Amino acid sequence: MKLYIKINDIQAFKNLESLLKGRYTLLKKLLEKDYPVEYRANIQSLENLQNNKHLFFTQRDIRKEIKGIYFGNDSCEHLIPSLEEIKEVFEFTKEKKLNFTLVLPPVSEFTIPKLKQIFQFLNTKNSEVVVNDLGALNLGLKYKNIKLIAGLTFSKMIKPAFLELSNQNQKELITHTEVEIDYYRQFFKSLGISRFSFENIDIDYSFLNEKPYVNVDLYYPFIKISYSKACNIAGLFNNIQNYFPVEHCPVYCKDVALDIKDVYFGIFQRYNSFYKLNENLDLPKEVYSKKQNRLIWEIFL
Amino acid sequence: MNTYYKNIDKLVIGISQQSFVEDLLREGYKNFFFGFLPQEYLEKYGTQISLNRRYYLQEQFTDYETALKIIEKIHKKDGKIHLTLNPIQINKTMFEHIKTLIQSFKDQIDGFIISNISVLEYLNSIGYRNIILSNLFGFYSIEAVKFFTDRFSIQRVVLPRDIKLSFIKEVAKTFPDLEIEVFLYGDNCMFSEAFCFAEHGFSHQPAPLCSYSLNNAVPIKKPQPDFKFRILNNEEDLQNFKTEYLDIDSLLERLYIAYNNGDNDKLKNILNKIKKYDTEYLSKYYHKLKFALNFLNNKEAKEILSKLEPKEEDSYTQFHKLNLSAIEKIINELKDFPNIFFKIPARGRNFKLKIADYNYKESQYKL
Repeated sequence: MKLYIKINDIQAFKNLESLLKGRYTLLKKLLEKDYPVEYRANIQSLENLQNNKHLFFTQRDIRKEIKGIYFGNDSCEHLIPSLEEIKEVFEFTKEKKLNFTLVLPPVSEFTIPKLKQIFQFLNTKNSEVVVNDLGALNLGLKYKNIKLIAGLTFSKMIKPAFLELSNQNQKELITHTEVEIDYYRQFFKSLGISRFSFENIDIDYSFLNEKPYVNVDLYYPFIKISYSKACNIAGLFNNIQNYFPVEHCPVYCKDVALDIKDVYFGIFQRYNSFYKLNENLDLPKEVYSKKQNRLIWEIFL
Repeated sequence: MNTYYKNIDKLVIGISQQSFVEDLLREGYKNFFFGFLPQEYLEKYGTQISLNRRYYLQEQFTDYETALKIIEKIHKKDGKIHLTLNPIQINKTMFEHIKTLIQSFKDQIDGFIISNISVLEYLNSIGYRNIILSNLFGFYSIEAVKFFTDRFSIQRVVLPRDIKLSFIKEVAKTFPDLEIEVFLYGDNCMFSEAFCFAEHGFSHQPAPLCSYSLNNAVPIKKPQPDFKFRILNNEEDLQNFKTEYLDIDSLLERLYIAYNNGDNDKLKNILNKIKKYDTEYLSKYYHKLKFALNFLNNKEAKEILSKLEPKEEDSYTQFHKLNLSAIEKIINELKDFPNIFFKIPARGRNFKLKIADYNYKESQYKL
């Protein structure tokens, strides 16, 4: 498989060089529990990738194997990068001969005009766009030079926040997604979409050997459990729980995050979404052995 | 009959095996929906990985003959009933069970409520047309509705809970020949249902994720992506990068405490501290500060308040429809759209109790 990096916003982009630095022995103190999960995820995931070069059929430093950038926050439409930011990152990828892919969150009606402007630009660049809702998908289909990728919301799966399922039959059920149903793959193929997104959780990928064939984007190391249009981070500043910032949001989530008191469950909130972490890189061979499949390494949440 | 519910024809009520359907029919309610879990599915998979978006046994029909009897009663009164086949996740195994249910019920009921493209394609392939698209598809834009209307023959779409009234009207106007269903009362979950993948219905989980997180969340300073630059280039001490807990309310809490203790010196001290904060920063806490400072009603407090402006938009906040006045407003705003129906998700709950005696707290939200 190929390695891509996911950059959520322009701040992460501006710190790209340092975020890709190693120095594990110096930084490993940041793996301790007193430090934010983002630091641990960045440091440990880089270390894990370096120790699993076989996934990319290389012996080189894996940072030399990066083939492209996935740019954008797939949690919240208030965090979609501006057109200027997209252009800046796009120009960088062209200069470095990297692939550029825009990542979108689920969007509402008020975001559609912004998306139209972005799509108009990307349509001239033969770019890829990861869509995470039917509205963005339907809009994207109107731009013939944009290659659409089905985001995580098109491979929906129950992702237990609290517990490991003990019922083996239930466990078996949740490791299979709609993508394994040929009706589904066929439908998306008819739309010109044959790349689907997944996360680093236990999934049965045997459908990869069945027609119509699809390719995998595997997001690593964060797992997104739930999103909300209502934002309790915005609500912290507004004296109202579950505040819905509708057309405009002061995006407090760039300065404030939420940890969950009981660390046993390993859940944390960034932006409007709840996450867990899985740094383990024990990937099935049917995923990593195919060159068209991609590991999308989210270098900083 | 509750006087708020004047448009009975437009109410769509969720029922379960325990529902008093005869009573509802007698009172004139005509539109229903139900969920069904076959025994063999229940025995193997339980209720938590359901074939619809409900996870407790009391919310389901499990006996085919009982379901048929209810369907017959509803049809005798010229009512309609739909079967929900709308799990958040589907796979080959669940798809086979859903296909079996479709074959079992398609000639008995008035339509299926579905949430998966595979099921939609299947229904299309067998020429079935009475299709209602669940809110789990996430209809947050006109384009999202068009995605289906451009490609399929659809009877109705169910809009999500967390949308504006103006958007509902826009959808109803844009698609006048499409039936639109809106939630008449919702629940207090902050997650967007189409994008919530947490587990439900397990007895040994501490709580649903939504309420658990609200009660156990701790604000921290968001870690920034320049951390490595600062450590490796600027050689900053690693201690500076520990998780920094924020206590947004602490100044305000101390204000209340000082006020309650009649400690005017402390009160003055705290107000002076607040005054020194940048107005831009304070304005982020506008509502909380406004509440606290109005409460104090003294000269310093008024001085601070006069300099503040709310930084956020004076935006509409989504209604939770937890009180009768909110429900009445929705019906009044939307009743003149002939293609709008109102969903009452009452499966496994006492619907009559809910509509007769609404006792949730006053909604905090403007409509």
